[in-house]
Amino acid sequence: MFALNEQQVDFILEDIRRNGIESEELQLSLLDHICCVIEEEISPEMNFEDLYRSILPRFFKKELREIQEETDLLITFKNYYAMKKVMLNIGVFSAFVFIIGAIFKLMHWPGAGIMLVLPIAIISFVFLPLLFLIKSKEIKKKREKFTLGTGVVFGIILSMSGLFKVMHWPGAGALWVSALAMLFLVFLPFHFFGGIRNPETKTNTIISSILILMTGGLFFTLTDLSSTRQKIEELTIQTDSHLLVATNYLHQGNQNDYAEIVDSTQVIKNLELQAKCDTLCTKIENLKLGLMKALPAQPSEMTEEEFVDQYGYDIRSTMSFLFTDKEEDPKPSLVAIKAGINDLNSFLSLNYVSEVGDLLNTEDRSNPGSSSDIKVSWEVANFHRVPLQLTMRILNQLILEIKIIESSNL
Amino acid sequence: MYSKELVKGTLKTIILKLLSDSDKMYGYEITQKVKELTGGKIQLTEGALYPTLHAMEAQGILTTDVVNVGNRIRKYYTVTSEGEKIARDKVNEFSDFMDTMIFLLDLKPKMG
Repeated sequence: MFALNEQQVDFILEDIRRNGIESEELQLSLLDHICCVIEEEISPEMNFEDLYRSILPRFFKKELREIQEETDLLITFKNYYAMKKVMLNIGVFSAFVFIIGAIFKLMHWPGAGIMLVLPIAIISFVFLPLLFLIKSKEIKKKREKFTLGTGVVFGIILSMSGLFKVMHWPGAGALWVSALAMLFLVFLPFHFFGGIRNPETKTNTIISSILILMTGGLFFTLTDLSSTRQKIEELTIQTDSHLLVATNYLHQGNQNDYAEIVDSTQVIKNLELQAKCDTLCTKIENLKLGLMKALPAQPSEMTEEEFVDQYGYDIRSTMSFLFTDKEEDPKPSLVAIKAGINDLNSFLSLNYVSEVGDLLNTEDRSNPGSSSDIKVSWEVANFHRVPLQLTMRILNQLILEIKIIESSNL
Repeated sequence: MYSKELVKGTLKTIILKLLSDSDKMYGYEITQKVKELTGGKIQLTEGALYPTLHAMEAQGILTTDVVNVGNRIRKYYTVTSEGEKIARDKVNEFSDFMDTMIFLLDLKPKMG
């Protein structure tokens, strides 16, 4: 039997490669097959190349590439079904866990955090990318692929912003606004103008565009455009000025009360009470003065992000101004104040009958922010991971409570 | 020769049945065997044969054996045990299908 020489085999291999057979496996299969056919049909008087050219068209309808495409399609088709199955299952799973997590969050049960973070992360980084891969296989037009891509990115940013918001991580607002911007400025125009050209999809496109516009608009009205810093500053200034007015009022009243009492034993006790309270208040005022030096000179020149990063105006910021750098121990000044409060409390319980306010109770307590029963110290409960502005306010409140104690015992 | 549409639906069945009846076969051999067995009535097109063979290999229904033949490489296909089960199922299904078609198209030779 006739056998093709090496040169001829190489010629065929090179030719099928050139004609779009990319995978090596397929190249070798086809090469062997073509060689078999040629060896079967060739006769001594025939020209090898002519025969090859006449045989090749049996393999396809239009071009040889079809075999490669068909192979790719068949191989990915199976993956396609597996991917679709995985996508649907994890989608249902995530949605289910998310709903449970949301219920836990509403009820303040432990474990809500992980049940919200996990499904959102899965939706964003597994479900939506898979959706893109699967859907983009189904569509041919580049423009539609782009629309799909922006839609998927919009979904990822939107769910991320939800996650950031729920977990109180910084940047949720920026993500939210960029998701909306993407929806209105990129996705919607592409979706609308892409779909409206095709008579078949025209009506559906108009309806879905209106729905998207309405939903997006609703979301937009939920967006509070005034800055967080502004609101917190206003609130803080208001509350602080109320506190100061009350403190001053009580202070004046107390001074008058001290002056009015003439009973000698009472006067001596009162003098000691006044001294203790004044020392404590001075200590707190000094601490406040030290903290105020950390305040920015001209906050308006900074962006909100810079401001929050640096000074912790954000209610959720995790700074502890009255703790050492590693946030493990309270600063000596705070310890001194606690000692002063304890001293005042024991003096009060010996000489006066009095209920002390919440801030003046220096016993360990269970942390209101955590679900566990572990007790935390007075310092941690009031000043650990508390932003500057709130720290200041708690100190003001403390002074007020001292004045109240003084006043109620006179 | 039957139309491509008719052959296409049964291609997998034909390949699996042939392979499970023999030790191992290569692509060209399969086409020749089918041609010979059917007297040329069924001719597998290469454009359909190889994509199917490669897909079945990727799915683990077939395993391959590579042998050097002169200046080139020849790939021999063998059915796995899973493939043999699929072959049996497919043949049974097709046999059932034929019965149904005979009934449906009223092809049953008249009694008596």
